[in-house]
Amino acid sequence: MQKVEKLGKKATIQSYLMIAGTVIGLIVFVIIPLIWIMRWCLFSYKGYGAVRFVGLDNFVRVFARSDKFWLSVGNTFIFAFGKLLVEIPLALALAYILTRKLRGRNFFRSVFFMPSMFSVAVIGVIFTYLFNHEQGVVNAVIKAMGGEGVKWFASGTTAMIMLMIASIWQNFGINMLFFMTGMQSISPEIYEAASIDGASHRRQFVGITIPLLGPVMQMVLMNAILGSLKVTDLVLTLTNGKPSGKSEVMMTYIYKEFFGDGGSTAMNYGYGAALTIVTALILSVVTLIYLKVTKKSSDIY
Amino acid sequence: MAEITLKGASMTYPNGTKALTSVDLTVRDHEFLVLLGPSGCGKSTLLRLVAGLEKPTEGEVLFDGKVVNDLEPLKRNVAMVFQSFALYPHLNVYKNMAFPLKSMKLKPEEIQRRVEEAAKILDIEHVLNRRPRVLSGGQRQRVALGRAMVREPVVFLLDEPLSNLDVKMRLELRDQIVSLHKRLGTTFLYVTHDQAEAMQLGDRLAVMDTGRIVQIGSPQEIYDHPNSLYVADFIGAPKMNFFAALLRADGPNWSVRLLGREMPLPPERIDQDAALAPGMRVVVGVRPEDFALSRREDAYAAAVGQVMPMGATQHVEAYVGNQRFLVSLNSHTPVCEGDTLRLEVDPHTVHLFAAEGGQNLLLPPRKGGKA
Amino acid sequence: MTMRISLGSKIALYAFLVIMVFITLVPLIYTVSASFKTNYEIAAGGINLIPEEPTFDNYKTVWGMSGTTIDSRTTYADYTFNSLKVSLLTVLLVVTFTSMSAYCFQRGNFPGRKFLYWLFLCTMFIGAGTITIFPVLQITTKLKMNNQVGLAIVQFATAGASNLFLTMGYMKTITRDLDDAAKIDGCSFFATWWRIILPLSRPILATIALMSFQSSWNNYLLPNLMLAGDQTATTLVVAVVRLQSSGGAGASQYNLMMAGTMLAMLPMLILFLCMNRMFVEGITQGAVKG
Repeated sequence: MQKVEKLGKKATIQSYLMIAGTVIGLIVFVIIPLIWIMRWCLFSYKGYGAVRFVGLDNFVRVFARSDKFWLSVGNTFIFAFGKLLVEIPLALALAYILTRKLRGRNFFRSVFFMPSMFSVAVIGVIFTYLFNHEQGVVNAVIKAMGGEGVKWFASGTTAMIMLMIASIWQNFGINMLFFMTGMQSISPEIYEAASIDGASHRRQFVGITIPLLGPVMQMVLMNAILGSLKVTDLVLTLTNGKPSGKSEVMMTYIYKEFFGDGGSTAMNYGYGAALTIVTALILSVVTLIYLKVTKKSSDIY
Repeated sequence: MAEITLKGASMTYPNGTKALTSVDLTVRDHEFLVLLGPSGCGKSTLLRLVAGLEKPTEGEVLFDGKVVNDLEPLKRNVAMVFQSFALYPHLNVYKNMAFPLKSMKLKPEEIQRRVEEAAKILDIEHVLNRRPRVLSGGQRQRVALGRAMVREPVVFLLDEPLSNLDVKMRLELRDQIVSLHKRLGTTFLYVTHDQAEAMQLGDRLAVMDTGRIVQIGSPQEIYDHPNSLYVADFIGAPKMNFFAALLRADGPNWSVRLLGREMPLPPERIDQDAALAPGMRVVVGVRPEDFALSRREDAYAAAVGQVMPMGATQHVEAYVGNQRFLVSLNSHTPVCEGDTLRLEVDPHTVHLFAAEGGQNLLLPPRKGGKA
Repeated sequence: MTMRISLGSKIALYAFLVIMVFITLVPLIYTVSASFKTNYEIAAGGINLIPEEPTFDNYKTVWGMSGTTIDSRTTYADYTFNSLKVSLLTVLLVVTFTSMSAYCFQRGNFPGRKFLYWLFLCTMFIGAGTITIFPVLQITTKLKMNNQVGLAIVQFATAGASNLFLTMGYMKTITRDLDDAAKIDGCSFFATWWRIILPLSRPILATIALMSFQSSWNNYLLPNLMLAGDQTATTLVVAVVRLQSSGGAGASQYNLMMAGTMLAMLPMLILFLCMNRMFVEGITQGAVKG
């Protein structure tokens, strides 16, 4: 039984002072911005001139007259889906392999984890070089193998592929680590019992590891999905939406809506706020659907 | 040195648990008082109230007559020794002991003097530089004692300090605590659930049950005359034997049927104020050591079950009919399983408790009560 | 594992692992390699790992180079120190306030505690993603915080509550008897934190410090926006990305760009090699706690 003592006066004052920093930070930089967005979505303001109350007009515009936005949303989902399709199985496989007692296990684990140490933006720059049409390694390798260099930045498809590759490269290590943590909590005895029953590695993996990984998997996957949907820095530095917006994603679209894109985009607080809210809604809906669909897997334990 | 008083102190936790109910207690200056009781009886809570770690929901805590309810522990000048030692893991022994003195803003020379002196008394000078985690249990507890000592407090509070030690350490430290008390003369308030420990250490014992103090007295008083079934059951090892019986009246004389025979109760022990009624259900209590071998005709004939040698004494499982009880005999008496023992009991040493309510219905035997 | 892996399978597994290592390291290797090549050699393309004429010139150039055409006195050396300053300040803020707050939530009992805790829980997922970055900029501009110190403050404030929960989880393992002993020994609520709990929290705070440092060092969006007004204050990562599009010195000069990225990555690499385990623990602990 936890004895909860009520703090004396002096201690209470001290606690308030001690959490003041964090709380103020939270209010000023997290809560107020949220309020800001919720307020401005109902107005129209171009940064100068008059502020007009427009009610839900901004939202109408988002849903009816924002083709480019919805294109970017589509791109975002394509990106997330495509990348996770490769990344998650890869992370799972590596985690499974490395949970066994192999020699050099720590070495492999460290190497795979390394890419996540670096700045996403910097990685974008690196991959700009690697995929450069003339000078980059990727095309050099392709040419050395007899093929023709690909103009990676020239088409929407190849641009998206580049993004996916870069993102997978950076993130598979962390997800692998998460899976390893989950796998380590599965008692080895279950595996032993299964192998006595004659189950092959593959059977064990599918029949034991995956189901028992359920709760961990659910969290890791949700984290990965949301993270992928929110991708920003990578796109900004690698393709910046090229060619002509074909690799734009939700977040970069909003970013440019607010901050302009080199050239001058007519910016509108209200529209930007509405976009933000819609995006947040999209993310929430995805989360809810995801949670509902995966409810079964977390019930296993 | 201080006299500590609790007046009508109650402690109710926010979740509704009543830890203490209207406790009145005075700890005399210089005395070693032991709070004795099972887990959950409120003894630790009481200690914490005295320490100032918690405030009573009702009632007052007084030091030398002054109300200290709102005074912080440091200002009360109390020192506490914990069951888990609670030594600061990141500080070495010296710094652990110096810690409270730093709070008191003493000069470094004074701090050094006190720490070294205490370390000498407790024989921990050689570990002053070490961290708690490399010390043995006994050493750690001595450091904890040292940390308390250097404060020169008005009262030492000890919360089951020996429970985490192995038996040998426990006995050693018990002696050390007693000698510490003699040497310092400070008031000691000690909490334990171990009745043997309580009997050895205390000038007075306060036996507690579910938030109340049910009996206070010297160890001998309590042993000789427990005022209730609860206390009788708690004190004394091996435990007192209890026999269910009915109270009989024969004119002005009262008697009970014990082990098949009628035992008259000595009239001088009858408490005239007690609510005695013929036919009342009672519990007769006889300590194992109060059974004696007998040559009398009307002695109880008991069949011997297990014999457990305990060094100076032996505990003998005895049966009269289906009634099982324990007898404590000198270990030189030859007894084996299957023997028949002839036993007698001096009615002056017998205890009688009401089946309902458990209070002791007899007066204590007078000194030199004869068999 | 009691399952015997056949030799064939073992070889296959190792082969797979080695290939993966290769794939993982290739981008980095080529980056390193390019940073030592002359621009001429890079422009020629090809898959040469080892530069024909390895040179440190790229590094020397970038280090002494200014990141913009506006201000030619601030060099990449300065940007590196800027990153260092900001990151260290961020770490200081994070460690101090997180530890204090975790202590208050975990050990304290004051009106509003549950409400605030719940508030942190809810906002944990928000942080400073692009979602709120514009209003945050509005606020920092109004408060005249668009400088290095302000950046550190914002990075601390938007770090999310995961550090808090991690620390609270760790503090749970510190027995409350110590708090009692400290109280008896004369410590106030704050003093208990300062003299006892904080020193004992070192392990978890080290992990948090490491992760916060990394996060701050690698941060792009926020520093880019907040420090835009002062070219001398730019952080390294931002400057390196600018190499890409500046049109001036760095445009399509991959040799310089790669040297620049190496500068940005090197500290993280060193940190990683030294404190590998702590990072892994930090991330997996966060995962388990959710």
